[in-house]
Amino acid sequence: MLEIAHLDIGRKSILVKNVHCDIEKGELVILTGVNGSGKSTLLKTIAHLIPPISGSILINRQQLSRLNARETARLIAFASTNRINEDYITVREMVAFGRFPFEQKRWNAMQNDSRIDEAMGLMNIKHLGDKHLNRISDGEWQKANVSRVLAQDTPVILMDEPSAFLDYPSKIQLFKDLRDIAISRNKVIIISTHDIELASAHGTLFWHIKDREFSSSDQPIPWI
Amino acid sequence: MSVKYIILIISTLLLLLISSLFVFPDFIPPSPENAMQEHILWQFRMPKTITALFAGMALAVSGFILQQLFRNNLAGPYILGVSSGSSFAVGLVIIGSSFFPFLHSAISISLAGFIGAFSILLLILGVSSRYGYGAIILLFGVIIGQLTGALQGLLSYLAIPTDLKNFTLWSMGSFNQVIGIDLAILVVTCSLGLLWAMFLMPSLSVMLLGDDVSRTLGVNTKSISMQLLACTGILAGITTAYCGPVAFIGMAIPNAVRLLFKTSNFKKLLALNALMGCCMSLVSDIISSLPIANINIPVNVTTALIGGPFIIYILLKNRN
Repeated sequence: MLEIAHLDIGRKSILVKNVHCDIEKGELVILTGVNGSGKSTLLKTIAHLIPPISGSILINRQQLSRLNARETARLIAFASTNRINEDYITVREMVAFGRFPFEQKRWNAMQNDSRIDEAMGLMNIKHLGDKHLNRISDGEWQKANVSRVLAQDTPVILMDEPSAFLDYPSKIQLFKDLRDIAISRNKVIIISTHDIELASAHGTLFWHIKDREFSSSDQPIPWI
Repeated sequence: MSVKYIILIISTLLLLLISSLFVFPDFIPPSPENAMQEHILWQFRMPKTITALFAGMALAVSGFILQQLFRNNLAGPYILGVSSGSSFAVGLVIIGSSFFPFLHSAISISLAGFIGAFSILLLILGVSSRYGYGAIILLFGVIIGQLTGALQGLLSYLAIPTDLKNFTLWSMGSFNQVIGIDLAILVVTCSLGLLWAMFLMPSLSVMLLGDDVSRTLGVNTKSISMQLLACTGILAGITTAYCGPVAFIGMAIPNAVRLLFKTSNFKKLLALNALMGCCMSLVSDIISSLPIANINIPVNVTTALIGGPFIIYILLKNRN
């Protein structure tokens, strides 16, 4: 499903060397590393936002660099850490943008996809649907952010620190849900996180970046 | 709630259309009683109303696009320097025509306004493709505005009195005297620009979510931004060429729409901006056509009187 080979990443100089993987079934991949180690850069490179220095990324046997923006958006979803504070877009409208790669021109059709309510139900934010984005807490924003990529419903989902700002019960729920979705719907979900204990309990594959070296294991990686 | 507002806006627009054609500054029945009235209705009021309609639409829509693109509620064709580029080119033609008589014709003034707006736009496109399309573009626009303003001052200093008066009149804005082929050009160009803008709206709405996220949602943000800038240049350029640099509509209307309608459905927002832009230009034009103390108030004075206090209100409201 997701094949990465000899991938060197970074903006100008190499930040992480030789990232590689060959994932064939649903996995919840936990990406760890200290601040500034290159977690976000790796996620953004896989999401096709930053060009790789060298190496290749294939999803469902398709070379990512050969696809256009819309084709890529149907294979990979990405949740960033940046919060949006627009005062005239509602939580439900934001989650609905997850359907944009599939329903570009018809706004009403985009708003009515059943995946939107499903994703919002999963994150327990259905009651926030009509609230505007500047009226919700950081934790609520994070849940909306996660709902948006779940609504996009792509084979590969990347999230940059999705558990940040969440209260403890919500964090536990998030990790459980992501693991369930990954395994039951056969998706590759890659998340960066600093919640090591929860991540160790629920992750199925573990990536770690230390001193520009990438390592991968099916057991939690001790990193202190 | 929002349906109520839409009905209100559309009925206001219809009322203004009827007033502009038949009521102000004095009453003419829809079926004219004599040749004089017929002449006024068809040769004067009809083209003026159509011009105001399309100019208002074009300015409000280009203001809306620029405000979304640069995430700045004060952006508009004015701030970006598009209008000032246009003004300078027209000033050059009006004042230069004393020295080069062949320049003196209505079409050359229109053409100059269009070329002026467009060259500023190309400059901005050039700068944005190298340095990104964020705050630097706004800064660039403001400086361009100052620069062309200074050059205009120099032109006025050199100009002979009658030319200076012509140019000053043009720069006060007017929806009068756009007739025949000029009116057709204005209508067709504005319609095409609006259609193009409508087509780009879904992508612009996704760009609310920021550059990274909108790219992973399949939006080619660079291409969409460039297309939107080009669209704005066409709409604002053609309007400035024919009606002068009309101020405040492009800045005030998008803010008014945002106050009334909170949605990410940008096709709807664009249509509402167009409708409310029409309303504002018609109101301004009606006020301008009234003979108050035996003079007609220029359009730009009216738009400023309506738009200025409103913008200040928006600014103070956002402070809280």
